[in-house]
Amino acid sequence: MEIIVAAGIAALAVYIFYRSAKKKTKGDCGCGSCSSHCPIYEEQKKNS
Amino acid sequence: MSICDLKPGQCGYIQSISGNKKLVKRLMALGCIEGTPVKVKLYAPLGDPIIINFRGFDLAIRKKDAMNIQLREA
Amino acid sequence: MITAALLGNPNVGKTTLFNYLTGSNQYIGNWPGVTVEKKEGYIENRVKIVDLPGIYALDTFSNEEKISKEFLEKGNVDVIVNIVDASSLNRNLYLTLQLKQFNKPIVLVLNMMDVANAKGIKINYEKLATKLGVTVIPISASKGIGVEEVKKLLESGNFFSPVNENDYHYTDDEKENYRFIEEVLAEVIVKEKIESTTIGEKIDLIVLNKYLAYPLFLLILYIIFMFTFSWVGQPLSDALDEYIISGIVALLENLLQNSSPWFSSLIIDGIVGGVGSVLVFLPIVMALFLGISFLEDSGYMARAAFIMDKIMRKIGLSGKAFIPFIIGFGCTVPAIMSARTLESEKDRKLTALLVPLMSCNARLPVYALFATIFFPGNESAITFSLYLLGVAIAILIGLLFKNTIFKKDEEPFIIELPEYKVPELRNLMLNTWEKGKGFLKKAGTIIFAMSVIVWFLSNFNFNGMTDMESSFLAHLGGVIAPVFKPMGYGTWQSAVALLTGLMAKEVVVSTMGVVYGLDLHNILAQQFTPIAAYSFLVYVLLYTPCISVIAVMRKEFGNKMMAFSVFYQLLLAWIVSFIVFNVSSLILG
Repeated sequence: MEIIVAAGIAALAVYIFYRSAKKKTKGDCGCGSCSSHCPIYEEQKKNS
Repeated sequence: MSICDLKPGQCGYIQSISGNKKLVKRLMALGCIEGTPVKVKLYAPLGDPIIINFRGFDLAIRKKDAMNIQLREA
Repeated sequence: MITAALLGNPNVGKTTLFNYLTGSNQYIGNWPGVTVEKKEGYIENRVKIVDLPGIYALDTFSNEEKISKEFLEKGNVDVIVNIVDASSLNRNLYLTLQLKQFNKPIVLVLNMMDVANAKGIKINYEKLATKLGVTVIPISASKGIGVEEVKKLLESGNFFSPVNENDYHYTDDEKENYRFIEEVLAEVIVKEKIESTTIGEKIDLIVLNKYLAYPLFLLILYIIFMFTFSWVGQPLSDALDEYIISGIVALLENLLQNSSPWFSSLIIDGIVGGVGSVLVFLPIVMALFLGISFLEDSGYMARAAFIMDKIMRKIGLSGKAFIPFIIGFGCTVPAIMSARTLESEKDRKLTALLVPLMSCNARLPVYALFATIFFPGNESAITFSLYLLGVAIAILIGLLFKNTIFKKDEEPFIIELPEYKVPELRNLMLNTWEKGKGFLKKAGTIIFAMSVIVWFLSNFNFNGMTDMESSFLAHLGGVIAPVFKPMGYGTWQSAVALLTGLMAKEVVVSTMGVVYGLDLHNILAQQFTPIAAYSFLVYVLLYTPCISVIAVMRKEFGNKMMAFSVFYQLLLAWIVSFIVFNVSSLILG
């Protein structure tokens, strides 16, 4: 049971890490205050 | 004389602007044109830039650039 | 769908109106040049509104003007919403005249009517509308007055029919244009009061005084840090730590008392230790941001640019570069992006190289953690000193680059000084909340992920689960650690914290939270001397901010610049940290 939960957490962490790292290499800083200047502003807009 | 010859608080009337083409264009678009009354409000703590006032607003400008704003002789 | 272009002089409230109309929350400051690129928003999917950078005219060759002009020409604009400062119509209408050349309907939004009224300015709206051939709506965007009318008008699509070639008064001669404006205004404006010295002028005499200007500048900044640490942020942060985080830990320990030790370590040391150690600093981050927002809204920033101009010039930068530097105190990425508006290539590059030295928000939790442990009671002073050190180093490096890599030319610089105003509570709260939200999101994503990964790497090696000292992470850290030995923090834990900090600077804290566990404060106090702690903070201040910055650097300037910026910052951080450690060791013994 514990191993399954731990594996789940690890998988989630790796997934989030992968996603953030991918965004970051596009220049997303995730600081939440800069949507207007952000390099990925255009992309975010398309998604939302 | 140029605008730099004014002391803080003194006023004058603009005669002409010369120098950097972009800057001239910009200042003219702001209404810094012949006959406009202009006032030097104050100098920065280190003596440069200066604040000038015309058409009701304050503009900070470097002395080097302000030298190019010529005033009408009184 | 109707496309509306929002245009006007800098700092007349375009973005405030934009936010009201579209319900979005774009960043606003009371200083010219906050909006550097166009932004889009919608009113109920019927009207698309495009917020363009503030400009005074369309033909004076600045980058902002290029963006605006291009959009007007190619963006299928149905209507131009030209927002003007009603208390300074004279100059504002110059742009309006130029806009008429596009033969589009123009809605002239007279903003800041409250200010104009206070100045005793009365405007005959109908007459102004007829004279200029536009629709006129008086509003007061910061108070939300009149905004509904603008919205309704845009939604109805019912604009003043424009196209009348003879209606066009713009000529190539500025003098003619202003004569026309003056003629129009003479008929529509009644000025009841004659202006005497305003409060703003009195404030300027003090704030820009020869002797007081710099001490006051420092004092104002120091007050913001006191607010952040001593008065509001730190106490709240302590409360958060004591009641909420500790409560959660106690609850979890209770829940997990029957689980295997490794599992409860993952949850408590890994997740809570990592994420929690960063999360407690939420109030501090928000408090500092609130302080800076207040300063921006008040109109002081343009004054700061004014008194710093001579120094900026010394390091070979145009005064306009001041804007990216201020943004850099929030986040380096948008700061580098905003360098786009600078006119010369040299300015853009030099700015992008120096901006990362401005201490961004993400570094704040690291300072706060170390300052509370090693310098209790002096948190404000320590943090303040780091921010100032960043600026001082930027000036030195600027001088160095100016005389070596980037030689030459100076762009002329003019900046309008906005009037002082009392910041709007709504705007402050929105901005600060937005910041807090961003911080929470970061804690929930990248910091959480890094904490879990760091926990696994610090509890495993190729043989499976192991003691932390022989884990993957300890080996990895051990390889790098000698580099930091001369500065007094040559442990594998510090090395690893700095390395993982490249993902985001807050991760420096969360990694330490994971590898040192819940007793973080006490263990850190044994691992560092106060001097080593300060040198560590200096390193955190100066080394490459994060991979987002590296990515943006590459995007904007290419591989060579990216490599150079990473390398020079790593080297710079090491050198300065080394000097700080050794000099203070010598002096303080």
